[in-house]
Amino acid sequence: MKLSKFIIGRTIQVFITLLIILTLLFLIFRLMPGDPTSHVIDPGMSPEARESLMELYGLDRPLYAQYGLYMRNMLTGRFGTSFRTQNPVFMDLRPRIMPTLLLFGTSMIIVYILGILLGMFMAWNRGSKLEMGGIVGSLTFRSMPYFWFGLLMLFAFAGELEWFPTGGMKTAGVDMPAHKEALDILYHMTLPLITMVIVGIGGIALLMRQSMLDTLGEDYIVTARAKGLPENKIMIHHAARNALLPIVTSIAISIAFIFAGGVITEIVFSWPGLGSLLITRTLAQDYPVVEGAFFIIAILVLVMNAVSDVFYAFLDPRVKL
Amino acid sequence: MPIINKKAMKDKYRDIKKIFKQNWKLFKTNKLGMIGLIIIFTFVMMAILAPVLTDRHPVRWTAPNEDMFDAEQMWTQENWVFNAPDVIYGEPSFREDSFYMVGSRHGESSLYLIRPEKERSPDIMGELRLTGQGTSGPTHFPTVDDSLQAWQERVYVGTDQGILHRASYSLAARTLTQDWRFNLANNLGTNASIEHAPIVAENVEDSSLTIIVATRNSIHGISDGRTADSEPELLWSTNFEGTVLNQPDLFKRSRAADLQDTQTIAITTEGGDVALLDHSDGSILWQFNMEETALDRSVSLTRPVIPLAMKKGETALQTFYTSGNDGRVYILPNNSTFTADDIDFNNIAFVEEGAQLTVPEVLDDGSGIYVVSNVQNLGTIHYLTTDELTVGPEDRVSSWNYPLRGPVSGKPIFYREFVYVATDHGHISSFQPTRRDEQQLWAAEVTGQPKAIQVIHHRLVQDALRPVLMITHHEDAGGGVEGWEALGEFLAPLSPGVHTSGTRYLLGTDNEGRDIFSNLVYGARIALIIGFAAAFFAVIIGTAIGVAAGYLGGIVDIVLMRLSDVFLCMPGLALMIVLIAILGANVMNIVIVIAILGWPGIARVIRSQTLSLVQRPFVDSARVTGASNARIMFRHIAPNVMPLSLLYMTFQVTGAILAEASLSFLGLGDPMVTSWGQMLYNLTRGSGHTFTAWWWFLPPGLSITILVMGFFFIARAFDEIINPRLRERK
Repeated sequence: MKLSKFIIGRTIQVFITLLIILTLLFLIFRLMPGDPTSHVIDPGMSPEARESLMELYGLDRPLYAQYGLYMRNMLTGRFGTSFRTQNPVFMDLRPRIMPTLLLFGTSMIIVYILGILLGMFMAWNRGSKLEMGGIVGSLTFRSMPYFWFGLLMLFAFAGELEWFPTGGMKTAGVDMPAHKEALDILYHMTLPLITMVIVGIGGIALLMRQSMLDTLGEDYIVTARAKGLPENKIMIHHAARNALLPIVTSIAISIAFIFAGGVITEIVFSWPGLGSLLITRTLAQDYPVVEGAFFIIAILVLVMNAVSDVFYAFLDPRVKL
Repeated sequence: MPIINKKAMKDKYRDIKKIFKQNWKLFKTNKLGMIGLIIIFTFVMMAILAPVLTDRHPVRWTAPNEDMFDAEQMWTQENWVFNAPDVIYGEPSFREDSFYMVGSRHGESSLYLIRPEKERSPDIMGELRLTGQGTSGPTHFPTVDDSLQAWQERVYVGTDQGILHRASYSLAARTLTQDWRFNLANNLGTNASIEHAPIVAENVEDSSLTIIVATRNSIHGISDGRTADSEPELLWSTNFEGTVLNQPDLFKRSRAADLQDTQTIAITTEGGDVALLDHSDGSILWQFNMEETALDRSVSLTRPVIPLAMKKGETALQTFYTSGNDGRVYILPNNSTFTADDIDFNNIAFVEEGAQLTVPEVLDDGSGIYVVSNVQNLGTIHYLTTDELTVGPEDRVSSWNYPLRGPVSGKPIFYREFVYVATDHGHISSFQPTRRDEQQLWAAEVTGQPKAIQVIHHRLVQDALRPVLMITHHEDAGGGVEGWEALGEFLAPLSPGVHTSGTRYLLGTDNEGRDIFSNLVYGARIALIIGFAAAFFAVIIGTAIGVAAGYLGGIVDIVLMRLSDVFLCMPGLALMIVLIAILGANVMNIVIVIAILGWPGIARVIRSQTLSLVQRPFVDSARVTGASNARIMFRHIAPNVMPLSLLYMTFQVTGAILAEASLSFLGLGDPMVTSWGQMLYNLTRGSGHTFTAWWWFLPPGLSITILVMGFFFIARAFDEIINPRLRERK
């Protein structure tokens, strides 16, 4: 089947992209001004420990040898040792992956479903006050910085009304059965989720509106109308379905956008994910963890991209080459 | 052919004008576009006119102190009283969070290093047995030990047997050890009792130390080296007829002849002698007796004090102050040619006839002094500005005074805009020099007899050391040191409106008293500068790469487009954070980083536009006429993709403004400028007002939103002009 070949091709592409990202990371951390070892080796270390680490990373060897060693270490998950916690970096990273996937995944699904519906209605009601309201609303929320909208949510619902907690993922220090824990996580996730959805939805809705307007001008819509089909059926089956394809291709760009928003949302709500880890450790100059977290985030983005591409190929028969 | 073709230029200008006119007509019909234009125009004007709109500097200007905190709530009594020794001699020597103290228990005197702890017994960090009985407080002097290459604190203390002790407190090892004892009694016999706390003079040439010790009738200089094992040596002794009354004070002054700074010791003795001594040899620079002056008045003087600014080596304030039991403050000029005949009696400030005055407290900048007069067991605090001090002798010059509830033998202290004074009966009052309405701001009672009050810094609360008012009690009242902690909340951030001082704050202030409105106005500059600059560079890079990829095709196209793919699916903000953290946060780096990460989207669009342009006949004809690739790209294709580039620049500005705000919010903004993101960073970073100070929280966020929205609206309007298909069919 052709699809399998496509998937294999796409996987190779992901891998190449990953290699390029790793190379960029290597260049950023090793070729920056100042002592390169200070980004890799804890400045507070004893000379002996320093020496052995220098050897491990090959910092005394030429740059190309360092590069080879670095690639091997990164691809096998040996990101080094955290300056802050003295743990292997992966131990610091592992508990952070699920919370990030949970928050980002959920918000992405909601953003796409609601965004597509909103865009569809805006296009269908073209020229009405409703559409204008939708456009201005979408643009307004898109103009808000994620962190400020998040703070606004906290200000209103955690500070003033005290309906929701001010941060974290679970109520600390309480043991509870699984179903209660799930509810607890949901309760903590509400505000970050609302933030990511409201700020993220505008872009998708406007894109969908655009795409929908394009399809509404197509001949087959006129034909469907001439056939006397009910308006709802034309809107959903004829226009919206075809308008969806460009949306799926746009996922690549919007995933990166949503991730950027997610990273900062995590900080605002103290969500124990990769984004907040990346930022706090960057500010603490814990570079091995920063490299590791960045690498994992990049992998997540790339894999999601590839999945959306495969999904697209699955949807659109024309792509099956 | 001339390089500049005038006619062609004119034609070009006319063309541009025509295009502009046509498009403006289209743009005008777009309501959202017009709103966007008005928004951006408003912010641009705000940025340009910032200095006109507000005269308060966004960072340097802060609200006056009387608006910022309320002295009435400033201090709260804390229940830690240190009573371990039976007697405390002199005043403790206060460090940042602890103090050295000489006390005696069961007849044995010891030097203690004590850190007060709230609600439990104090932590005794060091204890050292002294030879002889304590007489006064210790003196400490932080220094770098030359032999150990480490920070150490030297502590000097004398006893009634004439023995000077030196101890060292190692900041690294946290131990208090005795270094040496020096016996003055060998030279002086029974008159050797060290009466006052020693003082330490640092020699400018070799940074060795001279310890100045006062015994009953004489002053001694004892040399001390910088190393742990350096031996003390008596350098000089200078004798006086009367008893030395006070702890000497030490200050820098300029010798009139060579203008070189030298350290000078000032003392007063019984019978009204005032003398200045050179610290290196103990020679008397000048000496005069108040009784022999024209005033013909028997007077005993308090310890001389020098404005703090003087001690730092500034020569601007060539005066020092001493006060007498005749109710006058003497302002003595500090220069070596001065003699008693030169004394300017216009410089004697009359405070209160016949009153016993305390040691004056001089404001840090030398702008005025506080002094307490005692008449019939009632003290009155006076504040005199430098101007008032130089009024004639018989005028009543203290324009501000306030009666206290008892006699005062300690001196008032000045700390952070407030002055504190304790009466011998334990009544503490606080005043503010800038308020001239003779109001007592705050008062409290302590049990016992305070003989001295001091302020130390104690606990770290929200990035700031909380001050603690230390009250040393008189031994007759049981001794002990009592701590009062400043728990009163600062009033800032101030809400919008008019506050105590009558200052109006349009949008209130932040927790450090900076004006929100000024920050908002100046923040517009940074948002626009970074927004436009980053977008401009991103568009230049993106257009160049897009045109090159589209026109050249082949391997160039593939490499460039793959690269743009990589950049597009990279988590941009995360990379920006990492890059800024490594490169350093300044406006230039922020612009570069945003531009580097912004080009791929533009490059892709420009490439597809280029691909369609390449098919057009004008490109072919250019090629046929022998135009080079570079010429075709820059002269034929680039001008045609410019409108699209412009459109994307508008989008890019929004991205850049949001990116800068995010970076600043995370604490990665340029610390030298003020930006909206930084305002929110300051708000959320432990100010404790995230959920209360709406006037601090809303304006920066709304400004970002509205400005970005303006650019989105304009971008939409451009979009409809460039893609006529989008225009609504009427």
